[in-house]
Amino acid sequence: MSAHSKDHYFVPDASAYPFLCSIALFCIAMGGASYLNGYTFAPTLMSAGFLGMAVLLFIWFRKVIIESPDYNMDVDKSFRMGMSWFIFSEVMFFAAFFGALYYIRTLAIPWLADTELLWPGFEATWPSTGPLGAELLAGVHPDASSIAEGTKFALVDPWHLPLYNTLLLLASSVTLTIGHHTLRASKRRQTVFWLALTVVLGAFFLFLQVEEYIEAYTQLGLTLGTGVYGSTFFLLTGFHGFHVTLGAFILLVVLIRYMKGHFTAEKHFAFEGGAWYWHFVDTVWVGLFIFVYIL
Amino acid sequence: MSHAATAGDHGHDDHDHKPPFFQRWFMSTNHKDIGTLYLIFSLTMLFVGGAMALVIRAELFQPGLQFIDPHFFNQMTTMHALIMVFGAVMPGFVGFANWMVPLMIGAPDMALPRMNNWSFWILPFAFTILLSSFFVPGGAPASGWTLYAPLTIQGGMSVDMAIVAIHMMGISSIMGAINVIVTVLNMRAPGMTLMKMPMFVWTWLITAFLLIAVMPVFAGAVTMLLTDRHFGTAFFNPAGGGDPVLYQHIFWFFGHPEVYIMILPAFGIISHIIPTFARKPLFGYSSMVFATAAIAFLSFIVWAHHMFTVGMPLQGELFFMYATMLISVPTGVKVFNWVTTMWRGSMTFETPMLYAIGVVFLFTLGGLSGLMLAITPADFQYHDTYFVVAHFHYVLFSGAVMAMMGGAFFWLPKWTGHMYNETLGKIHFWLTAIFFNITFFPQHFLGLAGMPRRYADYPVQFTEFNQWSSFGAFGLGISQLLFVYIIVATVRGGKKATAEVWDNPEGLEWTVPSPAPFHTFDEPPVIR
Amino acid sequence: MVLSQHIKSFAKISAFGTFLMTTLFSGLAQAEYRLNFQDPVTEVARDIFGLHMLIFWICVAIFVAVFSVMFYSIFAHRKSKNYEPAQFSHSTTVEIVWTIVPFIILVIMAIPATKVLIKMEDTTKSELTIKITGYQWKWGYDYLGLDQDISFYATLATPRNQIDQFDKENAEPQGENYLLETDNVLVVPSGRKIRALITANDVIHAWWIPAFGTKKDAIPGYINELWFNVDVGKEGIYRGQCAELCGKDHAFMPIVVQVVTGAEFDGWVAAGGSFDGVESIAQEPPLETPEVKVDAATSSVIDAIVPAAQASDQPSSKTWTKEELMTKGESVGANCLACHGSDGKGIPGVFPAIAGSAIATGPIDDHIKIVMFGKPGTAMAAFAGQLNDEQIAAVVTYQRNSFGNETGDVVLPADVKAKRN
Ligand code: HEA
Ligand code: HEA
Ligand code: HEC
Ligand code: CUA
Ligand SMILES: [Cu+2]
Repeated sequence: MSAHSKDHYFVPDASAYPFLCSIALFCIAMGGASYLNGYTFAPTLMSAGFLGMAVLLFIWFRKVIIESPDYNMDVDKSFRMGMSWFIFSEVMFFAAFFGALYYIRTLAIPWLADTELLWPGFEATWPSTGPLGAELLAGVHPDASSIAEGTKFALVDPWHLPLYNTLLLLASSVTLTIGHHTLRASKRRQTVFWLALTVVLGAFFLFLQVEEYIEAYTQLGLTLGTGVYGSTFFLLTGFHGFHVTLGAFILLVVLIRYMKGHFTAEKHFAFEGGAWYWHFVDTVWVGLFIFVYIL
Repeated sequence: MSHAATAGDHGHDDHDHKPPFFQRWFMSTNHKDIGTLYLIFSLTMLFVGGAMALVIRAELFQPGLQFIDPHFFNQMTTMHALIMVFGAVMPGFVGFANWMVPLMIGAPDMALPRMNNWSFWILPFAFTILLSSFFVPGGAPASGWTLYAPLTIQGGMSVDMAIVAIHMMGISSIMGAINVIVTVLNMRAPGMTLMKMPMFVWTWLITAFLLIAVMPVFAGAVTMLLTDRHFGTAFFNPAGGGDPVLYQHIFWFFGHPEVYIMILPAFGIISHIIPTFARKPLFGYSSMVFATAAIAFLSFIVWAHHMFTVGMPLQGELFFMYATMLISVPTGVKVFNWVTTMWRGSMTFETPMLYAIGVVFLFTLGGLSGLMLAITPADFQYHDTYFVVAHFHYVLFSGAVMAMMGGAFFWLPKWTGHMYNETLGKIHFWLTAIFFNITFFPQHFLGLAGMPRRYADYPVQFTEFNQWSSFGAFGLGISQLLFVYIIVATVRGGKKATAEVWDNPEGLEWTVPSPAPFHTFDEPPVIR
Repeated sequence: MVLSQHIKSFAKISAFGTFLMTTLFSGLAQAEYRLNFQDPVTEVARDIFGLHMLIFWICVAIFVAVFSVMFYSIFAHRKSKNYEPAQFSHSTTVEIVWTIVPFIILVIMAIPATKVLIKMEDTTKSELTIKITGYQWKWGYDYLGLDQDISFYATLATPRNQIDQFDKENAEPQGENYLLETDNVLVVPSGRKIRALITANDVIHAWWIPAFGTKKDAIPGYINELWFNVDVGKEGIYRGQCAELCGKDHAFMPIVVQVVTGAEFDGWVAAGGSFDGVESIAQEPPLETPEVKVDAATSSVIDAIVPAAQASDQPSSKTWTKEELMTKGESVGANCLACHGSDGKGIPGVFPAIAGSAIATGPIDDHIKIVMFGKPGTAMAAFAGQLNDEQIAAVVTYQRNSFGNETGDVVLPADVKAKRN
């Protein structure tokens, strides 16, 4: 019996989505853990979870969209705050990996190099495979002789694909901002254009990123298992790429919703939330470009 | 829609329709019901984790292996701690936050009610995964709750299950924390400025900030573990250029703020109970706020005090020693403020007050042993002994858990509309306090004399104190059955509670009837 | 007026409280070693002990002071005494005072702590260096830089039937040094500064001798340092335990150090790590000759490929019979019990059974390989560096012909030797 009118804070009625989403999450998590341990039922469980989650989130968000005319500005503000704190949590997630990179590079590798007794001849350089990283890549094998030639990896050249990627993402942030301005000015056609362009730039970024991974694996000998540089490189860029995917998807949804006329010049939280997220992803990339590729 | 607070004489407003059972408990968007769910979950987990503690204590009653093999013992230690920390204490405080924060700030509900429900429902599923790891080959994780690499790299499937469970708990905590922050910042009744907020709300605001800041870091740490285990990365593998100690740094960057996540809300609860029963306003409100913030800030720069023996450079050890010691200053401010609140009050000693006093007394004892641990050279001796175990049970059990018990007695009449049985409440307090000390005080001596922690078996000279400790633990465990009895009895019936419950308590929660109606503050109250 | 009365009675109460606590705690602190640290036998340990007592007393003093006030208040300012509540709620002065005073106390504690810490971390000018390696679950010791290589392992010596009390029939009461005894002991001289280089082979362990005031984690792939210098006159046996959770048998990898005089130590070294011919030694058990291990330099690290170990020192030309191999294999098999169980059944899901194992009944090569090179990322360590060719051959032969495995295979040291490098 909560008051669904604009002078009251919107308190939704009972809802089954959270409970169902938890079940889906359970399937994903349990499926994932089982998958890693070779259970045959795992892929099914996991797919069911992902599918369920996708469907549920779709319905859930749809419901929110339908309700949204009943939301007053306070609810809007709650959403904004919620989104910014969520982004803060994402920042901290990336901070863990950047921290690891920093620690390994400036502390661990030099310490290992100092440990002459255990790792004779290992020298502190960056990027590093670690004392036995190359062997790790070859798969640890008693007959170490089988280690393939050329397993010492090469770096991704920052001034090639990564540079393009940087430019792409920076450009996409600009186009998105233009889109926001045009939205506020109610210039429909332009908004659609700039928003669509942003999504395309994002997609192009992802395409290049995949290209880069393929190159790393097939030509540079740079893989997840190439010692610690490979680890940090792929986890940082990988999680970033995942976030770009998510961000691009959000913007795509926003675009579709915009075309359906869901937003007004004043009230368009979804657009802003998506935009913040995009700028955050962009900023992380700049960090990556500097700390992972260039330095 | 009438103002709920006007219907003061009996519990149920006419328009206080509650949804049918399934909708009410599984699909709730009501902060009070979700709070109740959290509290029930937390109590259940206290028993599950407590039962594991009793297995530990039973095995340690005598030297030699009596009942369980060392591998299972390690599983018990690990799961006991994971369940207590992530299942009992953290959700317990979220339960309190759900119930009390909207009531205290005059909000109609939490800011994001559906997400609130989701935060809760993730937990039972996460713990299903964690607990079912007992049944996979090799049993549950056995590497201590800290899940240090490379021991966890060796573990079986259970480690992966723990990792995904932790991810789920992380999602839950982050969403819960976002909800609290947004509620507090956005939904305060008109006129309630930040510096007029009740202390519990303040402590939770800061706790929520800590949660959002560190849960993702923990997620990062266990993700690295997962990829090291299955995808050939080398974060913690020296052969590939990694460092096992890196795991510890990331873990404790989360782990230390985590311990304050478990104590700050307790401080908040105490700051409500003491003024109520001293009949005197909380002394030094603003310094309390600043002290809480200072503790939170410092908690980010002390993590390596858990790692003094890993071989850090000297400057690092000195820095972390000094920073850790500094935390005593703001914590001391809080203790002094509580004592001064009592000073020249007009005190009565109902159960909540007994708990509050017990907490201040025993927490301080634990805090002072923490200070001893912070002194690096001495910590070389204390580290990984029962001295540490004693320290953290003093701050965790007699700090966090007993504060929750005190809080439960304090607000139970508001929640249920009935008074609990005061005599039984007092008995429960004394039993808990006494058995707690029998359990954990001797552990200080064990630790100093050199008994390492996480030991399934020990040299004979440690026998006597271990027997005391085991005896105490069983007493402590059985006493908790009384707690459950009191709660059940109070829910079922008992003397009707008034809206105010206590003599002239302060705060908006006391302006609504007892039990608090299903919906409160549909119209925001106005704060003078 | 009222206030001064309060202060007076407060002073009385707190004086009494202090008296009570002092008598109580000084009794506890000094009386027995079970209540406090073990008696220190190095300068650093003494410093730590002093520091410990200093901070302990400061904490006791703070505790007593704070709670004398609180309990006085509880006693005096209760409603049942018709006490009217005051309404004051802040005072900037006291807030400042109780921020600054604790800070000063902290500074007082930090100064001696810093001094001791700096001393502890200074490992320069040592006279003897020992490398200590933690294994699941034993310790390996290598004396570095001596004319003669001395290295050995130290494993728990407490008999199993003292530990297992499950089976009441065979169980025996625990001995005096229950869980604190090892087959080989670390021998060190008193009066010399000894530097220990600490590392581990598999997971993190920690090497701890309480009486020396030393504890350091043993981290695979990295080397930590500590030093100690036992007072002359404090020769004897000192015991410690592993202090970092390292898996199943964490509680069962003690450390025993025998401190002897410098002269005795030199004799011990001259005799190749044996007390034969060293006069004047106070024979305290367990003074056995350590079984010198084959290859000191090899230390595999998780996931590392074990560098090829040197060939064993015994001539591999000896012809071994199956019986000899089986007997030797059973004793070498002690290395494997902790995980694979004395019945070869292991712990399902954690440590695989040898009984009926596909590897232990399948191709011999695979069996030899897993024993020599281990399985990276699991607890199965590489034994190539710990066992010599004969030992490996023996244990493999043993495993292939016991626990119900009946392959009838005989593995010869030469087969193992062929796998090295
Ligand atoms: C609620 C949880 C909680 C809280 C609040 C604390 C509070 C503190 N802890 Fe504790 N701690 C844990 C939970 C907690 N801890 C846990 C779980 C572990 C073990 C984890 C594991 O390894 O599994 C641990 C371990 C731990 C260690 C590592 C020990 C080791 O493994 O070797 C250290 C070392 O510095 C430490 C220090 C402190 C300090 C200085 C405080 C301070 O905040 C205390 C401050 C309080 C006071 C000092 C008392 C009140 C103050 C006064 C009355 C003022 C006057 C005082 C002075 C001027 C001194 N703790
Ligand atoms: C909030 C956290 C919390 C709480 C509340 C507790 C509560 C208790 N803990 Fe725990 N503990 C930890 C957090 C906590 N602990 C952590 C973090 C560790 C470190 C783990 C590690 O090293 O990795 C630890 C480790 C730890 C150890 C050391 C284990 C080791 O090193 O191997 C011990 C040993 O005595 C112990 C005991 C107890 C006991 C007796 C209680 C009691 O207070 C419990 C009381 C409650 C009950 C007993 C439940 C209620 C009753 C029943 C179940 C009914 C049935 C009872 C009967 C029929 C008798 N705990
Ligand atoms: C610290 C524990 C530990 C010790 C000590 C140990 N092992 Fe193992 N062992 C393992 C583990 C774990 C595995 C499983 C590795 C895997 O996952 O394939 C294993 C696997 C094996 C296997 C293969 C069994 C199979 O069917 O997969 C053999 C054979 C074996 N060990 C022999 C030995 C011998 C011989 C010794 C002593 C010299 C020994 N082990 C000591 C832990 C240990
Ligand atoms: Cu080795 Cu614990
Ligand atoms: Cu800490």
